[in-house]
Amino acid sequence: MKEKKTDYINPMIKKNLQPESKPDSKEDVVSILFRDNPLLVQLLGLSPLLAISNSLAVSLALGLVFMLIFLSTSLLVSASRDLIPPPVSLASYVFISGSLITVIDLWLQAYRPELRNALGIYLPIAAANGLLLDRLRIHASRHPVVMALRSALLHALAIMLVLVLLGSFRELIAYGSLLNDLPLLTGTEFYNPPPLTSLESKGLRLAMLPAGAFISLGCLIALKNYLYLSRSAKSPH
Amino acid sequence: MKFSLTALAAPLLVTIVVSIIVIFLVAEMTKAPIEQVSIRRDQKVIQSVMPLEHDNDVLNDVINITAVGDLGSPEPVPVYRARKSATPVGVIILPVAPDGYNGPIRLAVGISFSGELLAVKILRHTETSDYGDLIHQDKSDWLLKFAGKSSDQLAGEDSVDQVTGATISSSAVIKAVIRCLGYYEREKDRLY
Repeated sequence: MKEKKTDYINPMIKKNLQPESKPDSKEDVVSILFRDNPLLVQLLGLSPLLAISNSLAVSLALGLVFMLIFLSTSLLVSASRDLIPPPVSLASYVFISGSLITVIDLWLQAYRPELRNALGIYLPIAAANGLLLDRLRIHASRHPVVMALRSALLHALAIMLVLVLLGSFRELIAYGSLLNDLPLLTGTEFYNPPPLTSLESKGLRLAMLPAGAFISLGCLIALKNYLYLSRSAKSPH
Repeated sequence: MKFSLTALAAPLLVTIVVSIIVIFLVAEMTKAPIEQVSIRRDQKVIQSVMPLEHDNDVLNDVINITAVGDLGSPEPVPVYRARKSATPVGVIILPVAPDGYNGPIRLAVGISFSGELLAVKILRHTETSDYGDLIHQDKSDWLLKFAGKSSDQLAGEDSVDQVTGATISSSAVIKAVIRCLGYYEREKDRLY
């Protein structure tokens, strides 16, 4: 319990001190999804999350893309972990994730072109997502396939959770709607999101702009810290 | 740990080659659907610049015209004809603004039979998004100002302003529309 306590307070520092240390072989679901959610604690790989998360449907789509890419790269990296020597591992991970993202990209261009437009540049750069490469290097390359997949699933769910929270919060505040862009996901062709000007009256436009993303993320981190700190204050260690 | 050069290079090379093969195969498979998407997207823009009522299949009632000076392209430019019970209603011309900031800008221009400018939209452009967004119909309402203007009005000072921040792109579009209207005035009879 005490060990976990220090882990929570400064996971980043701990990690930097022992960058090559093996993490706990069995990762805790609650820890990854909530308390140590890598996006809210390490703040890794945030750029697509912040840029895309102004509507719930697009956030969900990005979450699904991350789910796919985390699972498939972890599977490949874990399965080939004895074949790829460490000095070239990072380079080959970039090739693996890059080609998988390109495959997803091409599929979206062919069958969900409007969704592809909404994701924009943030789809291709997901291939070099900091959190993804970090997980591949630290976890997937050192664990058997099943464990690597479990960890990948947990981390993708952690991303999905933050994306859904940010996406619904921002869409609600900025547009006063939820899942307004759903046709992007389900594939109605040539769906055009309503023009920005007509929506100004409905909500706070700040929430949809990049600054709104940072403010929302800050609120989310503050809320999470508040919940956990107030809980740990009640039960002294 | 020490590794020999081949022990390092071989796995990396295999990864790269496999990646390239996978991407190549998927690109081949998705080529046709992606082309279809871009064709349908173009068709949607083309149809949207003809607001007048018509009952023919505009997209298939097409002739190709080569007029470098007026329509901006050495290639033949498609001209779609809209008709209602066989009477001409108007045309959709796809002229090119050759002097865009970063390359030619392809437009879709709708003109009524009497020569009134109905609508202008951008079909393709290669402007950087900073400039492109300022004039493109999806991001700005600038192109809406064209409807109903005569070529004299467009050439005049105060009807359709150039866009501050995208001066070159916007004036290229204005000039291309003026040339296209002039061409229609002169060659109207050939087009139907």
